[in-house]
Amino acid sequence: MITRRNFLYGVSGTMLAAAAAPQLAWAGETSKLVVLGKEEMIVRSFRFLDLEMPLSGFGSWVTPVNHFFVRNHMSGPVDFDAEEYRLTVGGEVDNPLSLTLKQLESLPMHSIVNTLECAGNGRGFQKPQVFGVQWQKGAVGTGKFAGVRLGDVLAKAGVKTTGKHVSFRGLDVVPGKVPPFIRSIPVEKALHPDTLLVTHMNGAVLNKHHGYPLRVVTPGWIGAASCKWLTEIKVLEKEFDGNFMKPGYRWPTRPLTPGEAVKPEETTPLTALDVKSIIAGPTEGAKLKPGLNTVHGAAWAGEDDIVKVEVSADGGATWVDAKLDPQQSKYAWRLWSYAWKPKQRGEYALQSRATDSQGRTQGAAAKWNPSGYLYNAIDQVKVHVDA
Amino acid sequence: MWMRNQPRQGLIVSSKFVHLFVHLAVLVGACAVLILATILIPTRVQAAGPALPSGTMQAKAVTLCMECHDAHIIVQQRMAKPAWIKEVEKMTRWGATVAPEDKDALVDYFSLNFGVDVPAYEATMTAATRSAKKAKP
Repeated sequence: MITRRNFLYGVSGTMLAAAAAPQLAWAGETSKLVVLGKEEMIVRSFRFLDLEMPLSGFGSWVTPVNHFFVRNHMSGPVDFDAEEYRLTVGGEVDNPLSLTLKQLESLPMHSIVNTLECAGNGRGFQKPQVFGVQWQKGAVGTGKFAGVRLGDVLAKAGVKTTGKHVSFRGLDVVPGKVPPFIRSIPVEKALHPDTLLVTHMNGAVLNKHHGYPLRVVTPGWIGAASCKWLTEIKVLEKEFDGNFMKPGYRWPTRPLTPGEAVKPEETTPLTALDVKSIIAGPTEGAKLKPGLNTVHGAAWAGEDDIVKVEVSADGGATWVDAKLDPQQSKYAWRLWSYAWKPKQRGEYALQSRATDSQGRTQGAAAKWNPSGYLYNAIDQVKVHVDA
Repeated sequence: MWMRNQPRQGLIVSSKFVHLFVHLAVLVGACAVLILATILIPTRVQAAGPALPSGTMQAKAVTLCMECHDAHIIVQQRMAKPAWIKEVEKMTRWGATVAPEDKDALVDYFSLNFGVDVPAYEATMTAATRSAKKAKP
């Protein structure tokens, strides 16, 4: 694979320019943004590119790459050279490393199916509203990720006993005076056999939007823990404390009332995802006929397993178990469905509520926090049943 | 390396084969370029997205904000004035060259156009292309 990629990078600059032309443009007839490799996605931002998966994406256990959400704090690398590329490993290690892609891929390959969710997914539902990308349901997707174990790379470098955290830096192009996108995870999670340095997604080489040539996948954790375009790993004596660790991506250590501010010392970095389910269909405001109507969606719980999804058709007064789809894998969402047979005409509030292997379940309201992270209130869709 | 000085023997290739090979090479090359376009080419920086609303601060807002990002991230916010003050201060720390005398007017411009009572922004979709119909995991 590396050989082919190196060859592709050898194509002349003129050809690259010609190929680049149709990548992003406004389609004349529809006035819709064309993003090559990304189809019918909700545009949350163009620069920097933030694309949300539409509800139809929840119909597939593994999300096709062209429907997989995209979240960027800044632009990806512009002048990438596979020959020049190196992954460096430094800091609290015995043998600092500088590895080529070929050297990396000589290590044993592993794969996981992981649901990747942006910490801000659902922010658009927060009341009161908070600043940030106003994601609704689709800043989430499930991919088959393959690569080498971060633990194998760290073993080659030899982590010193003083090494407590592992930080990642990508090849992002930093705009203005914005701090670089660097975050760290505890060394225990870094050494976990499921934490990977990923080169392939859904059986193909990672594409640019998802971090080519190399990204971290920290399974079950917020998307920001899975650095794209990875080029530098540092083993640190303590947690990294740059902007995207502090004040960014933090969670209050005490319950807040909606709208309440929180002191920095009362927050801790976000790690694993919470339990959550969403209804993908029917959609809000749908007009349905009496009789069989399938309610369906997805549920996930980060590092934990979904054990139950319940559905209510009466605004939460009574609940029945939904059917969980048999396709499952640790860290991956479960698709679910419920054969709903409304007998009477009228307005209905359909709700879904998931419970995980820790016993966590969704509440009527999300735990409010000033950045609107980990929104996971019981999901609700209002529909109309008529003859 | 020892192969370099060996005489090449037994290589007999028909012109038909050469023809086929050239066609294949062109095809593979074209595919390679298309794959490249999908996975490697960076996002082109251009003015794409919604326009900022008219007002005395429109031109300055465009100059200050869009040096780094487009207007999407602004027009989807619905925040009260105190939150806009914090945001303008944060963006100033991050490189937006807001003149001190412009700060209040800029905050008022955002608070007026993107305050809590303004109807929600309706997001657009990226276009579908032929490959969308053939989407595979």
